[in-house]
Amino acid sequence: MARFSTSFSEERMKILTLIILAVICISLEILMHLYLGVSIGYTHFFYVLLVLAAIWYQKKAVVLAVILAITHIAVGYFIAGESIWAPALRGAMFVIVTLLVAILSEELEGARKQLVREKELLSESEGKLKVIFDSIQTGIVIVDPVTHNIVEANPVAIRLIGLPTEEIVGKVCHHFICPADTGKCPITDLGNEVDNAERVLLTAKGEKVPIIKTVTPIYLDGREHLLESFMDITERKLAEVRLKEINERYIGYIKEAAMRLKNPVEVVGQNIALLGEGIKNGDFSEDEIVSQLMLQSKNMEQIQENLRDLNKTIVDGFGELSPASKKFLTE
Amino acid sequence: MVFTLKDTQENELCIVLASAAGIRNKNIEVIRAAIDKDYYIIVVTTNQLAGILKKNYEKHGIPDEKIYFVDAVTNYAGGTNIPRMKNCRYISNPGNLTDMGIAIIESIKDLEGKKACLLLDSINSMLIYIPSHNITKFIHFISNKLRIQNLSGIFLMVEKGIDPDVLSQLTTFVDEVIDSEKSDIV
Repeated sequence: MARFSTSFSEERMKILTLIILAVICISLEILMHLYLGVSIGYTHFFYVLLVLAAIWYQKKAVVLAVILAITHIAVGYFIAGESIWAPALRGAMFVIVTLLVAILSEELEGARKQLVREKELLSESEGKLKVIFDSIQTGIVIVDPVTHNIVEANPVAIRLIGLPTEEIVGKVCHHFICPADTGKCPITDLGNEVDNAERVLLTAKGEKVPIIKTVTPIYLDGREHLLESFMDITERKLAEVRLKEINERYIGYIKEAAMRLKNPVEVVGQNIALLGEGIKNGDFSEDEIVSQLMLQSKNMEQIQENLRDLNKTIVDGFGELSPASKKFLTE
Repeated sequence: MVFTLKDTQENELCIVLASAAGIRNKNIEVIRAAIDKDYYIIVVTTNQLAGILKKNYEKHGIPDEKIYFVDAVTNYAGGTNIPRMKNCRYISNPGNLTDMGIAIIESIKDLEGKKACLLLDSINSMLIYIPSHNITKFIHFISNKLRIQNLSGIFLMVEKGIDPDVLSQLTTFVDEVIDSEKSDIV
């Protein structure tokens, strides 16, 4: 609205200026040409009107130039009785100059509009990039490769680091996103590539957050910069640890099962075989046979109990089993 | 290979690996070797009744005067009709490591000042009643007791019957591991 009202008042100002200049021109024509009989000199002032009109209204100003030319010729030829050629030549110059200026003005206006459009597109593009930079769920930090100072950091990076923007921007990057020592930057000093590499981010609280990081050289403001993008992989790491724990639990279960189920069954089998042999040879009394059989029976009961214990250990480690399944495995 | 105590130095601790089928004979070989070297022996049995073992030793001509037993299975099997032996401590349950430890310590005290050796038969049969991590702690405890008393100790074990990680832990408590079937020192 404000822009519209500014533009409207500018327009009125232009028209008013042109009207005043036109009145002056007509007045000069009447005064100088008609009353004083001077036909040259004052017409230079007409160019002020015509050039301004051509600049502001381009080819529409030619109409004004033609009117002024006809007026000038008419006054000179019909009223002052002069030769037609001199006023006609001046009138033609009014039209030609106005037309040239109008063409130039149109060109300039076209270029100006193009520039404005490009500026708008650039601004729109920058706006989009800013929205992406601020909204993307990846930490992004732009680093000056010479000083290693952080030039810019997006909200995710700021949140992960845990400090206000002003305490991050301008600080050396290895205070936060790369714990390398000064002079040992893996990119600029050691010439390494960092592409989806697992690294550690140092937070304001001194915590180490596992991240996956990529560093890409980019040109920004005519200079090389390092764009460091990273993602917090704490959840993934926790899942890996959990998976490792589960694997270890499974392996532990299998090992313990082998030692406390498979091998004891072999031991019991071996004992029963030897007992059978001893009975055949008449080595044992009745009580000894009964006791040995009882022992092997107790051993088998204990092996069953071991199986239940091992199942319970495994079942307790998992929340996904239904109560019925848990009961089946542990009772 | 016939086991002899020449394979081990005096007052040393060792694990002897045997096949599942040969572990009973290995027990007899170890006892014979120890008797030949004038050792008093404390046999801790968690696999066979002490009475059966004694009978077996007699059958193989091994004198039993120098053999003391810690029997963890006779009472457990309800063998109340089996005559009680002298030089034998009966414990109620092979899973009761406290009672077993006390019985072993008392047996060691009985043999104080004598050249003695402890034979544990076997770690595999203990695994029926006790989780592996508890057995590891128990063997550590017994090993320390034997070292303090300058006694020898032999732990019988079925080869391939123990997880390598557990075996490697047990190995750290003894001076050597003898694979009697291969006659190799592991």
